[in-house]
Amino acid sequence: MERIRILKKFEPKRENLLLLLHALQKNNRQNYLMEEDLKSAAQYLSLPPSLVHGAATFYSMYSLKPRGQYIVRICQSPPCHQMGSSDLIEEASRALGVEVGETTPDGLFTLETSECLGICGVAPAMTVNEEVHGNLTPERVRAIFSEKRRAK
Amino acid sequence: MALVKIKIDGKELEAEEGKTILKVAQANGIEIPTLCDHAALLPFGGCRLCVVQAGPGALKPACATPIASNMEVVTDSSEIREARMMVLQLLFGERNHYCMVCESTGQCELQDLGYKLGLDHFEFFPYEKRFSEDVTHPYILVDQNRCILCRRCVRACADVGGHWVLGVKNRGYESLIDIDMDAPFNDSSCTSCGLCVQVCPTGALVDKRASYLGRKDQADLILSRCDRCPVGCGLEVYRRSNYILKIYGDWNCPTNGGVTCRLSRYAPLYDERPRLSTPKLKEAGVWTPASAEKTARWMAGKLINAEVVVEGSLSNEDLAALKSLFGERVFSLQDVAPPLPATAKLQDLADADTYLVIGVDLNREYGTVGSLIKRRTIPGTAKLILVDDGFNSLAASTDFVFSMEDLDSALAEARKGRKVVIVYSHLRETVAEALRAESQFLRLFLPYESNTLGLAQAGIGPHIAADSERTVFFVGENLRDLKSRVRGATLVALTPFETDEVKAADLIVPIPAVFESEGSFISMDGELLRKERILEPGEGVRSVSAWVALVEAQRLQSVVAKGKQGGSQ
Amino acid sequence: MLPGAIMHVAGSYHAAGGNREGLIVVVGLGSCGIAAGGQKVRSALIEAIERRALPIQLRETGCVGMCYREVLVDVFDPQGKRFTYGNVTPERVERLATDHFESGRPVREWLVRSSEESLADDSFFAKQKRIVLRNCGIIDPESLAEYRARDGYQALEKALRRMQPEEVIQAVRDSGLRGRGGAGFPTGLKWQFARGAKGEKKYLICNGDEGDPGAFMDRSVLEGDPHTVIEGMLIAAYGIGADEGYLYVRAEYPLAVRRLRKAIADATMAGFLGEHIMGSMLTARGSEFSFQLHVKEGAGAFVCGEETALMASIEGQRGMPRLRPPFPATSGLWGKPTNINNVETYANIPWILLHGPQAFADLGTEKSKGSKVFALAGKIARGGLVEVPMGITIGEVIYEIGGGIKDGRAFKAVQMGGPSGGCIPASLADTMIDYESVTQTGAIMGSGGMVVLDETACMVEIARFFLDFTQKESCGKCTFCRIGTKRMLEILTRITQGQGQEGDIELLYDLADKVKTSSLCGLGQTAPNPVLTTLRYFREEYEAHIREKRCPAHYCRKLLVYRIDSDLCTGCTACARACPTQAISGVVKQPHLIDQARCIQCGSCVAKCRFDAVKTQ
Repeated sequence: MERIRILKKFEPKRENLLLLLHALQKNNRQNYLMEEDLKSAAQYLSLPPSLVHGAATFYSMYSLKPRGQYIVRICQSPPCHQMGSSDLIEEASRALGVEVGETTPDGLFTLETSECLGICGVAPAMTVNEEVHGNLTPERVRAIFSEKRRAK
Repeated sequence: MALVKIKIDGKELEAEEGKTILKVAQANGIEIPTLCDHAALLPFGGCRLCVVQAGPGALKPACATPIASNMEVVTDSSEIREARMMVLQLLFGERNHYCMVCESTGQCELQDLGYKLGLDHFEFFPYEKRFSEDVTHPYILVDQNRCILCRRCVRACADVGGHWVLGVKNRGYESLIDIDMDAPFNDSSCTSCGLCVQVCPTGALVDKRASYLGRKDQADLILSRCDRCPVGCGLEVYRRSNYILKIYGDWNCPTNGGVTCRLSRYAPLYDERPRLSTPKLKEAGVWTPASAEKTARWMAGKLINAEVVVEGSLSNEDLAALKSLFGERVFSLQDVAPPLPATAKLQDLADADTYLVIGVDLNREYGTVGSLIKRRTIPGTAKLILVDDGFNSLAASTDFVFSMEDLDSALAEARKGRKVVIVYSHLRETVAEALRAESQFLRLFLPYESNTLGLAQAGIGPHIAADSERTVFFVGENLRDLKSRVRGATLVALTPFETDEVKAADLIVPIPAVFESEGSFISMDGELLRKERILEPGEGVRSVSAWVALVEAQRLQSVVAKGKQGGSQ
Repeated sequence: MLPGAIMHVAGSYHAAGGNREGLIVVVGLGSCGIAAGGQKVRSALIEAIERRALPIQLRETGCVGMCYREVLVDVFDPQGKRFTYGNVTPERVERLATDHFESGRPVREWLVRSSEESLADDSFFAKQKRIVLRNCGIIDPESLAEYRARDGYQALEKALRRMQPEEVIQAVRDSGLRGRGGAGFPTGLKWQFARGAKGEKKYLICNGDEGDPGAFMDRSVLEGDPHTVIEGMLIAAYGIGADEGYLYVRAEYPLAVRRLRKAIADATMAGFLGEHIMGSMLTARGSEFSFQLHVKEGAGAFVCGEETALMASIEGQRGMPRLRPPFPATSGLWGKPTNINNVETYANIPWILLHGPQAFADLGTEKSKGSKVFALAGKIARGGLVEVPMGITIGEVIYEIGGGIKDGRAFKAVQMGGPSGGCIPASLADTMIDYESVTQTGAIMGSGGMVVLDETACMVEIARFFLDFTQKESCGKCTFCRIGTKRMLEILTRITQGQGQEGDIELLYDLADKVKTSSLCGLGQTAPNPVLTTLRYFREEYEAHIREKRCPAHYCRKLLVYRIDSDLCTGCTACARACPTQAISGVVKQPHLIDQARCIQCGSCVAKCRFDAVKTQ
């Protein structure tokens, strides 16, 4: 039902596919697109399933696997790399106890890397869901995680 | 289009502006190697094997670059040869292209190009990733390890077949051919039209039945027409000794342009019903083989007041033979007349903007008609309106689905169209009435069987079931419920298969199966089409016409004998 | 910026309904400002102001370009004096409030710019010429009134009232403006093609899929001055005869998307967008003008910056490049004639129309007119956003505007043009910034990203890094880009890991050449550029990796030799305990030793040593 309510916000036009997938993913508590999401999108837009699945797997911001409540994306583009983002990734991986691409067992965090976030002036940077953080150090990264844990 | 002058390899040519370099070169006997290109598909420009020099800057793919006035094209130079060789090196190193252990060896376009362009070693360490084969489909094997991502299958499935079952998932080096949403092939929405196999240049998509039985070039190619439905698709049938290797759609056939469906391509090859190889007579409740002569004599003895009921797939020649024997007492198992007279032909589907399909699941029957419609409606070029009660798989590909009760709404939607074609087969009387009023719509009638129109032309009407003491002959491949049609009569079944259903008869007589006889039939467009005999039937099997001739001979003999008896009296 | 201009800014605040009595305090809340903690500073300011019940108006603005000083807070007094504080933290707010807001005594040691005195950071602006960025960091991007107070939508009105569509196109042609997305195609000519294309329905697209690593010009403009882009698009739409447009923004820029949506809603309400623009005004062409503008978010695919892939993405499909011809001007979005330019290109248009094409053409060089926005990132002292006249040299940008290299290290190279560009070595710092000169170096102008590298950068690793990016972002359609870049990446990876072989450089050249000449779209055709330029200018680094198994920049871990300096080692044993392969031995309080046969170059010892005694060679 929830799904239909979300779909109905968009005109059933093919050009809305990407927006619709964003909305469905955002609505999912585990930040991912379930097979049912893709099927209902296909049905709503009268699109062959292969086209919907093809689009959902083409773009890197859609996930077809369950993810955490917070998606941590550490920028690994050259400016951030220059400013030490690989240390941040190592630190985040240690702090969360997961590798890049994995989700913590409590379902709170998924650690990902990101292409350029466009805030290179405050590199190295990362996003936690839509929140942006810059001028990061390994200590700051840990502090942000603790903050989120407490907020839970 | 205007003619323009261009030069290819120094040769001055004149060709239509806008044609691709590849097409112009081919028309002038200049060979350019290709791989992702296919004559039946739109240019894709992915493999880069056909690169040529056309103007300054980067090399251009001949398959996708239109010619322009005074263009100078070079199709062969050391730079071009090196680029093409690099394409082969990269492709051969991407996945498993060890030819000696591939079903497609000897009939693989990638392998052929390797030989032709002189590939003699692997530059890059090949084949690091393995994918498991999908063997779930009853007819088709998918091996992504052999795939070169040319997407011919995807393009054929979508743009030609209108199915969009195949797609591509992921991107870049991780790209893979996708089936629906990563479904096992057998659980997908695949209609088994087989186009994907037909266009695959390598061993990534293989007809299971044909595997390891020989290559296409070792087989005889026979062009024929499919008589599984009244569309009458053109087929390429590949025969090796007395065995059909595979069946492809005939790209050059104006009826179907290469498209076919499961019924023509696979179903007959997988027909597992036991063949009837010799006539059998029920004597005192026991089935006893009978000789041809005895059979013919037996049948000849039952002709008085007898009638024959035929399936609509019988050829015109068989019908004529039966009529010579039974006169006016030849009837059809099914209806013959359309509920509404047709006013459209298949080609009207090409430019209609609205299709009103009533009560037919075009993914399951008349598949080519489905393809011609879906390839325009799914991309949104035209609108599909479906009216049906109960399950119809077309409903997944349209927004406009109505029940028969709601026909008025469907008609209202259809009236928005500029060129509307109603597609129908059987219709309820009330529905037919409502449609009759819409005289501005074109009507494409789908006859019930391949030669329904032939039956109609021969004046053969439907058989009315009734109790009778007369002998009734049935002719067809899908005979069933014989007793419910006629009770109390002597029954004869002429059929290729010895099923339990036909054993309701008193005599069963073997006739050829689908590929074992030639003959003509009248397609839904009213064309007289001819199907060829591909295989030789078994020894005891005779065509309907041949049986008629034997019976006729027996009858004459008995008339002569009676005459003699009469004379002596 | 000159004090006069600052006066004008303050004036615009007041004109837009500000108070004439108290101070105006403006927080920079572009994404960079927010990432540096701008929201927390803003909360602290609100709290401090409310607690004191001061007659202060608190406002927001976008990015002024001084990302290296974020968070930035401007204070304007009623006389128009401006004080800019840099590196503001919530903790510093209290003193700002007490000293400056309450007592009128600016905190001088935190000032980075002021209308009252010259400060070191003034040199960041001295050589800039701000056309595209004229409003960024000055107006509130969410306020249409502030945009209008800065001549907003006057260029549109001028075009609609007084110019024929052909005259609009002629003006853009005369200005010499070239596409700022990278390729540098003359904008006016592009518009003329679209105008001349057959068809009733035409589309206009703005490419905001800024994906080059290290490039954030478009983000800053969209976040800082969205109306400029909308106005530029409206003028273009009038010129080519389009009535519908799309603004495609990457999904990594949620703030830009939000501000754009608001700007579109405001502009529509005010009658600048939608049906019957400007109250059904009859335009110079003799008819009403309407323009519908939609925002489309991407979903994470660099290749969508390629114009045909972008159109596929707008249509809701996989972002796969299409074959050209046909070009978008004749058959683009949904097969209709389409004009596509990037954010920065459109943002130039209102200025050009208001100040005249000649004013724009007076700037720059013979073939590259006007100004260009650059994003300075990497090892530069002042990272941020700058707009300079074309023709300035790379050295001027890096040293005079960017303040040179961070931490006093040596300038080694600058990566320009992102993954399609290349590395220009320090020796070519005199290169003029114009399309042709930059292209001559093997890099490209690109969209304006400049990633500055210092002596610690390994150029093989830089090339590997960019190739890793393009390889991952390849759509997979054509053989060269899909497989060729993958093979190149493998070769580079093995070189950086000490597995390089003789012949690798030749193979790289061979692959690079083929990928460049025979790939389908711009992504593939330019993918080898980072490799080719580093090979051209830093070949000896490749050779050192391959032949001597040595990384001259001491970057590639696998090629490092770790040694303990016995003079510095105190024998604390921390390194020996951290070593995962027990390669370090030694007695407590005696200098330790590393067994090179066992060492796996993991770097744990370096990280653990408190005496800087572990050295790498």
